[in-house]
Amino acid sequence: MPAYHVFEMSNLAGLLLNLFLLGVISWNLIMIEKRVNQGQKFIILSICAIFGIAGRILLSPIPNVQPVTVIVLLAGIRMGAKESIFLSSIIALFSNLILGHGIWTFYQAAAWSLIGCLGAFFSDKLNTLNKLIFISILSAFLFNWIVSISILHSVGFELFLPYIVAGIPYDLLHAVGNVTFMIWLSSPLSEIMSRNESNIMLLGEVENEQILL
Amino acid sequence: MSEILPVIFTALALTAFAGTIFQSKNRLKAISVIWLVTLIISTPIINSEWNRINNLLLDEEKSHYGLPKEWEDKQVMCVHFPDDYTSSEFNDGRHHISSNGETIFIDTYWNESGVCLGGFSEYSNGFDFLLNSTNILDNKLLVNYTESSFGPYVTSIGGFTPTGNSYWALYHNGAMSMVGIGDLELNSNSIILWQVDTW
Repeated sequence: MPAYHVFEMSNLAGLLLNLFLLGVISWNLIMIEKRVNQGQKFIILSICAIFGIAGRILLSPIPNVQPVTVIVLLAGIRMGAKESIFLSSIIALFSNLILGHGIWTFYQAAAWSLIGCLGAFFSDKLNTLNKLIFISILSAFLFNWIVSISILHSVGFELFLPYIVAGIPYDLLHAVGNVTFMIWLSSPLSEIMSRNESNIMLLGEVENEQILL
Repeated sequence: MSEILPVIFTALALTAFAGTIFQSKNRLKAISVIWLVTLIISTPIINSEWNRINNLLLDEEKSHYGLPKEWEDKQVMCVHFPDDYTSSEFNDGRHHISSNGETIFIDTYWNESGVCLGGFSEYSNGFDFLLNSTNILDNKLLVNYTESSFGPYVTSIGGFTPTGNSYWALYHNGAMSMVGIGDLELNSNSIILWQVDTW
């Protein structure tokens, strides 16, 4: 029997295939969501979780570029702290089933939860795209530094600062990735997350317009 | 670092182009993707350069032979090629490669071209260390040797075979080794250096 799946695929081809798959998943997810969802929170949370898990796994060939930070940040801002903590933990756990589960899963979940909580805390101030971009840059550094704490399980404290400094190019990559995802996702995700019935009643036309910015 | 410039110029040109054909939100979307891709492409170069600068700043007394800070208290195997030899793989400075085969940084300002493999701790015999560490690079740093009555004698490393009165000399922690590589007992922080000397 021929080995159908055994062939060498270049890194770039693999990445393009992943991007295509992610595009198909997110596009269809949004289309389906528009039809079925009248604001049920569980549907919104599931969609965000699926998008976060798929995005993190499929973008894993590029270090530190993934949509999860922006998703949990927006979930914190638009929905609340509890929702963002749930999303953070479920996305960290399920994507690490593929990417590798270990002590770092805890730190990733904790760091994303903290970012979500920050978003929830400052939700009324984060009302323009510029402010959202600014906090997404902050979140990138915050996330990487919190996850870096996990190296203290294996090395001494004196290596912590050199480790953080050596990682700055990758922090930068995370930050620019976050800015890109924020620009692309803030409108569609905010729209989905704000479709909750209670939200629609609370928010006036003008304020809604601001959120969709 | 200069190989990054064409990438940046291309990104600037694309930014200007995107700026003229797109409006408001779409313009932002296009520009953000252009710069994200630019950064992804240039990250390996930026990272290598950053590690080199970083290492210079941290390594104030130069006590550690310009090696990465994380190799302190670890075993390191360095090979310096002579000036007149052009290595096909390692000609742009000294490459610093970790025990899992990843390049940590390339020191283009180092005055010799060569390779340092570091971050090992498990070796007690010099010859085992030489063969196993160079093995990480597959055939890029091939070691040839002959068996002699004194133990193994290294004839060529990385494609360079010394001729005449020159030979691959072995240094252990900065001093010329009194014994051959086959009899060399390693410490947990031994630094081995191969360079071409003449007798």
